[in-house]
Amino acid sequence: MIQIRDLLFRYPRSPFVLRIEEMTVAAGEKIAFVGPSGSGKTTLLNLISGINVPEQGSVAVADFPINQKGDAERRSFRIATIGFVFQQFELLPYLNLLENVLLPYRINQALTMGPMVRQRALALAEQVGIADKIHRFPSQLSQGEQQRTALCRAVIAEPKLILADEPTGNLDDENKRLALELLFEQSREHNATLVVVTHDMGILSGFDRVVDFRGFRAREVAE
Amino acid sequence: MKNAIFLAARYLLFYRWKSLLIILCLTLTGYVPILLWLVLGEFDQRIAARADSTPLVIGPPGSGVDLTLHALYFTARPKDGVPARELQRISDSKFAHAVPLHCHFTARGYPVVGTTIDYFDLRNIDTAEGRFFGTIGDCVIGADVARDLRLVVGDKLMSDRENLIDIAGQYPLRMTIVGVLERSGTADDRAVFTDVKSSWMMLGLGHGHDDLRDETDPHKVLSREQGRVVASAAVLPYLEITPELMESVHFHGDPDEFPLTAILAFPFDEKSETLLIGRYESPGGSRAAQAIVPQDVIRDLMKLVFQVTQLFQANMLLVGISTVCLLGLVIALSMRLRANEMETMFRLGCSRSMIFNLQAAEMMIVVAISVVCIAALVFASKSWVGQILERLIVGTT
Repeated sequence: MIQIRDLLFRYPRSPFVLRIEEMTVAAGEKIAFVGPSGSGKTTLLNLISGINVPEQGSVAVADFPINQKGDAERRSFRIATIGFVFQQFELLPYLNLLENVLLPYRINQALTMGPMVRQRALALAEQVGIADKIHRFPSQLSQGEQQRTALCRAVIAEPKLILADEPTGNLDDENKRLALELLFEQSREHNATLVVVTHDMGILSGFDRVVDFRGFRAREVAE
Repeated sequence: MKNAIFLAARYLLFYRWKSLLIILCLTLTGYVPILLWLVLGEFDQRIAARADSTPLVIGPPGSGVDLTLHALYFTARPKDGVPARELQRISDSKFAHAVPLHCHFTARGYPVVGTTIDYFDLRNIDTAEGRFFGTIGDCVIGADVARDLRLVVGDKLMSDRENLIDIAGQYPLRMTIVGVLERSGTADDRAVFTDVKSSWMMLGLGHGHDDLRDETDPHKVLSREQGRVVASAAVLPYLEITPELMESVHFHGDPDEFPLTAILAFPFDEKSETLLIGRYESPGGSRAAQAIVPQDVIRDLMKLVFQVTQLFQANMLLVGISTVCLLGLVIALSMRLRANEMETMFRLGCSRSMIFNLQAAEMMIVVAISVVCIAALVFASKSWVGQILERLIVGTT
C-alpha cells in the first residue's frame, strides 16, 4: 500500500531532517509510529498523504506516486483514498457533530450523500459513545468527544488508508479501547491500511508493526 | 454546488449576528438609494398630478410656492388674502370656473377648507358616505380624517380655537358631518370641507345669536339707533347652527371684502387662461392678487428637489463604494481568521474549486438575502412612501 524509498525531507530554515531509506506498508496492515515529539512521525504522515512533498526520494500510495503529482491531483487522491485523524481534531466549529462526521461527503464531489450514509454516521457515533451528542457543536463537546468525532470523520467514507495522529491522546481507557476497536474494525472490514502515530505505548499490542522514530531516522523495532 | 451552499449556509447560520450585520449593511446600501428614487418618483407623480389638475391659482401677492402649496395642500397659510370680489371678477370674465378657498382654521388638527360644492365637481371627488354640505355648519371630511378621528356621518366636529385666552375673540364652530369623501390619495383625504360661509363664521365675520330686538339687558345691548341694535361682547354667538337657528345667522361687513386665501381657477380654454393670467401680470393688472400656474411652480420645486437628490445620490454612491471596500476588508479578515479551517479543508483533500465554491456560496447567500430584503422593503415601502414624503415635505413647507 505504501512504498517509501530514499526519502529526504527538510523544513525550510529548520535543522530537522527526516531520512527514510525504505519503508513498505502492506495493504490492510496496522502500523504504529512511536518516538519522541519532533522525531518526524507527523511529518511522515503528511508526506504519505501528500500534504508535504519530500526533497528527495519517492512516496507511493496504492501505486500512486504521490510526490510526483501536482497539488490538485494530490488533493484529489487524498480525499478519495485517505481518512485522516489530526492531532488537533480540526473539526469545523460551525458544523455539529453529525455534520462534521459527514464532512467528507460534503467536500468530496465523488461521494454521494444519502440516507445510508447518515445511518452509517449514526452507527459510528454510537460505536464510540457519542450518539447522544450528534447535534452539539465542537465547542459544546469535551476533548475526548471531539477526538472521537474526528475518528468517525476519518472512517466514514471507508478509506483505503487511515492516517491517525495521536487518535487516543485525549481519551480515557474505556474510550481508548472503543476508538482502537473502531479503527481496527475499519481496517479489518475494508482491508484498509492503518497508520497510527502515538506516544501511548499501552495501545501498541493490536498493531502488526511498530516503527520507532528516535534519531530522525525511522527504524523498525518490532514486528 | 449544493454541498458548498449547505456548508456556507451552516457557516452563516452559526455566525448569524456577523452575517446579519453584513446583510444589514448591504441591504441599507442598496435600499436607501432605491427608496429615495422610488419616493421621489412617487412624490413627483403625486404632486405633479395634483398640480396638473389645478390649472391656475389666484391669491394674494407673495411667495408663489407658498400660495401653490396652500391651494393644493392647504398648508403654508398666506399672510393676506384676496377679497371675495376677485372671485366674482373671474366669474364675470367668463374665462374660467372659479372656486373659492378659505383655509385658515383647523379642526382637531386637520385644515378646515371653506369652499363651494364646485370644488368637488372640478376635483372629481364624490362622497363615500352621506352627501356634500348644504348649509352653514355642515361639513364633509376626508377619508383619512374619518379614519384617524373615527368619525362618521352625523358626528360633530368642532373647529380649533386659535386663542384660548381671548374670550371676546373668534369662537369655534361645531360642525355637523354630513358626508365622508371617497379616498383620493391626495390632500383632500386629510381635510375638512365646509361652506366658505361657515369658514367666515369661524373668522367672526358672521354669527348667529339670540334676537336682541326685545333684549332689555343693558350689558348685552350697547345702543339702539334707528332700529339698529349694537350688541356687546356679552352676547355669545351660537357655537352650532341648527336649522332652527339658521334664521339668526347674519354677516357683518361687505361680503365682497370677505377674505379668501386662494381662488382655484379652471379656465375654459387655453386662450381664456392666457387672458386671465394677463389680467394679473399686465402693468395695469390687479395688484391685490397674483395668478400662479401650479405646474410651473411644482416643476421648479421638483428641479430643486432633484438637485438636492443628486447630491444625496452622489453621497450614497460614495457610501456604497465605502461599504463594498469595507466588505472586501471584512472578507479578507474573515479569510485570515478562517485560515485554520481552510487548512483543514486542504489537508482533508478538499479541492481549490470546492473552497472557492464555498466562499462564493457564502457571498451569494449574503447578497441574495440582501437583495430579497431590499425587494421586500421596496415592496413594503411602495404603499406608504409617497404619502409619507408628501406629508413631510408639504408639512414643513
